[in-house]
Parts: sequence; structure tokens; C-alpha cells
Amino acid sequence: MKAIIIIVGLGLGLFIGIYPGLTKPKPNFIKILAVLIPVITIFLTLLPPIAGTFQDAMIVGERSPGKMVNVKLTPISGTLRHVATVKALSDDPEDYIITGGYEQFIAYDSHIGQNKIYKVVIQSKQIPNDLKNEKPLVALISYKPEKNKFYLNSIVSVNPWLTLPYVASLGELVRILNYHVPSAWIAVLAFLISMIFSIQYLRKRDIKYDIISSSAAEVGTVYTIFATVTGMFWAKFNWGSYWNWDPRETSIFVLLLIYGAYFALRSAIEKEDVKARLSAVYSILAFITVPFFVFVLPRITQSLHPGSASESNIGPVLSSQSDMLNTTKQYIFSLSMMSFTIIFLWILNLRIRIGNLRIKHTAEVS
Amino acid sequence: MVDFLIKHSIYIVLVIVLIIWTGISLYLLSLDKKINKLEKNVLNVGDGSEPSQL
Repeated sequence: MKAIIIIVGLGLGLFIGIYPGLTKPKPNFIKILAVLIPVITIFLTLLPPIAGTFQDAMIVGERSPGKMVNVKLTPISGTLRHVATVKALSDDPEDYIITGGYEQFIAYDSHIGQNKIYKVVIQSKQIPNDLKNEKPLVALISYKPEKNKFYLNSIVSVNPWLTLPYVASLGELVRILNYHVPSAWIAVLAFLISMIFSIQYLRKRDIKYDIISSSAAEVGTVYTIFATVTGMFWAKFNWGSYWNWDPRETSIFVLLLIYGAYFALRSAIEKEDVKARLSAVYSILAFITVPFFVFVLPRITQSLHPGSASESNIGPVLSSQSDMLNTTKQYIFSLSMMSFTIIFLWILNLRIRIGNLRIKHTAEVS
Repeated sequence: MVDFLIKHSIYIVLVIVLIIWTGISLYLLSLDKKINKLEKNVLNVGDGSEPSQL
């Protein structure tokens, strides 16, 4: 199901991006879509609160006690009982503290596969009105294993219309998934397009295929750099340093070197047809390495990156087995794939048209 | 306002990402416009009008 949603996003992106043709000028409505769909993606990626389950809070609490997790709470209607002890702090009637106030919440327990009732201790001056009104909410809670109790710290959002899943060890950083992963995948698509048109060039010996092939390689390299840079920032906050030669970082670095050599090769040859022929052969050879560096190598080596072989706790974030991505997240990820595809094809279209103009110009001059 | 932004720093990220995307999309749109103009010029070369300067 997950794969289908993602492929539909990619397919729609390809359809909107290619229309009305890879090298033809784009009509205005396509440009409007190409600007608006990424804006929607940005909002949907950044605004919804991250919300886990009580299980997540328990797992995090047992590993690092006191650490807080956003959890989605659904109060059980009619069963809310305030058994709190109210202690006055001063003569002011509003200055009091409630301790030991238990609220009952219903949450899905993934271990037993059904809903379970949990109790949360509220330690605040006042029981928030939103709790009294029995609205579903996302709250910051922590689990204390020694007391076997959940504690409510604050309320993040009330009546959330959309929540993103909590991924263990990523937390808020999971939002980068919508920028980092599509850009790496679309880079692979770009290199694939480069290879396909290189083969076309070698068969037909028409310079227009060389323009498409080299443009796709250029845009693909830009996307790879974008994936590397976003990954570096993520690594700084998740691993503690921007670059530590993790297998994933090494493999993308080698990939950048391979395509860097492609451009070095192109700029070293002056004769157009020799340049096109040699770089077409190089592009085909270079693409053979791409799936290994992007998909295979980081998955079979011991790495800190999600989805590596040493992963014991969170598993590949996007694998079909794991339930790390809830349905909303899958749709948003798919939308993100779509917007990155549209942007890629738009830039590719512009790049190809510039290349065509240059060829026409040199033909006119000579 | 400052308190709100400290509490909800994701809005700062949102604004920065939107500014970056506005910049990129405006650049792409202007590039698209320029290329359209050049393509028109190049196609009109045979009609006796001035050839374009690329």
C-alpha cells in the first residue's frame, strides 16, 4: 500500500512535470502548480504536530527517564475523574497546585493490537480547560519507570486535524524525511534519465539527446548536493557532527565524485560530437554504480543512518514492513515526491531549452 | 510575539523555508520568461527581424 501511494505521487509528478513535453515551453497553469504544490508540501510537513502513542512515551521513558514525548490523547468521555489533591500556595484563591490528578485516556496499544486505557498525572496549577472539555489533544508527556506513571507537562495542540507519527530516536527531526529522501530519489531518477538519453544519443547520434542527457546529469547532481547538505544538518542534530564518514555519507560523496568527473570530462573536450560520445558512454557506466551507492551499500553496512544493517530498534523508516509512517505521513511524503519531481522536471526543461538555444546560436555564428 | 516564537520555533523554520522557496520559484519563473523571449527571437530570425544576442 505504502509503495502504491508513493508511486502514485511520483507518477502524478512525472505527468504534471513532463506535460506538454520535455523540451516544450510550459503553460501557465503548470507553472502555478509547480509553485503551489511545494508550498502545500512545506505547510503540511512543518505545521502538523508530531504525536506518538503511550507506548512511545514508555519506550523513551525507560531508556532516558524524564525525556518528554508528544502523545496524542483521547479522553474517555464520561469517565474523567479528578481525584486530585489541591494545595493552596497562598491566600490568593487562584494560586494553588494540583498534584496526583489522574485523567484517563484511551490510546491504541500496538503490542496488544487494541485500545487501552492509560492514566496520566497532571502536575500543574490548574487542570487545563481543554482536558475538562474532553477534546482530543496532543500533549507533551514523560514516563517515569520507577513510579510507573505518565506525567503531563504541557499541551501542544487541541483538536489536531492532522498529526505526524513519532519515530523513535528522530522525534521532531522526522520532518526532514519529506525533503531529504525525495531529493535523493529524484537524483537517481535524474541519473536514470541521463543514462536513457545517453543510450539514445549513441544510437541516433543526434545532439539534442546529448543536451537532455547532460542537463539531467546536472540537475541530478544539484539534487544530490541538496540531499547531502540536508543530511549534514540532520546529522549535526542527530549524531552531533556535520560529517563523520558514515557509510551513507561516504557513498553519496563517492557518487558526487563520479558525477563530478562526468563534468570534468565534458569540459575537457572541445569537439561537440566527441564530447557527446564520450560523456554518453561515461554516463551509462556512471549510472550502473548509482543504485549501489544510494540503495544497496548503505543497507548492508553498519551505519548510523536509518535503514542500515545495524538498525535494531527503528528499522528502515520507509520499509514496507515497519509501521513507522502512518497514513497521513505517507500521503504527505507522496505529495513531497510529487513536488520534487515537478520542480526537477521544470528545472530540467529550462536547462534543456537553454542548451538548445546555445546550439542554435553556435550554428548561426559558424 | 517573541515568546510565541520561542515556544513554537517551527514557525521560524516555516518562514525561512517559504522565503527560500519564494526566491527559487521567482528565479525559475523569470528564467522561464527570458527563455521564452529568446526562443521567440531565435524562431523569428528567418522573418527578417534582428537575430538574438545570447
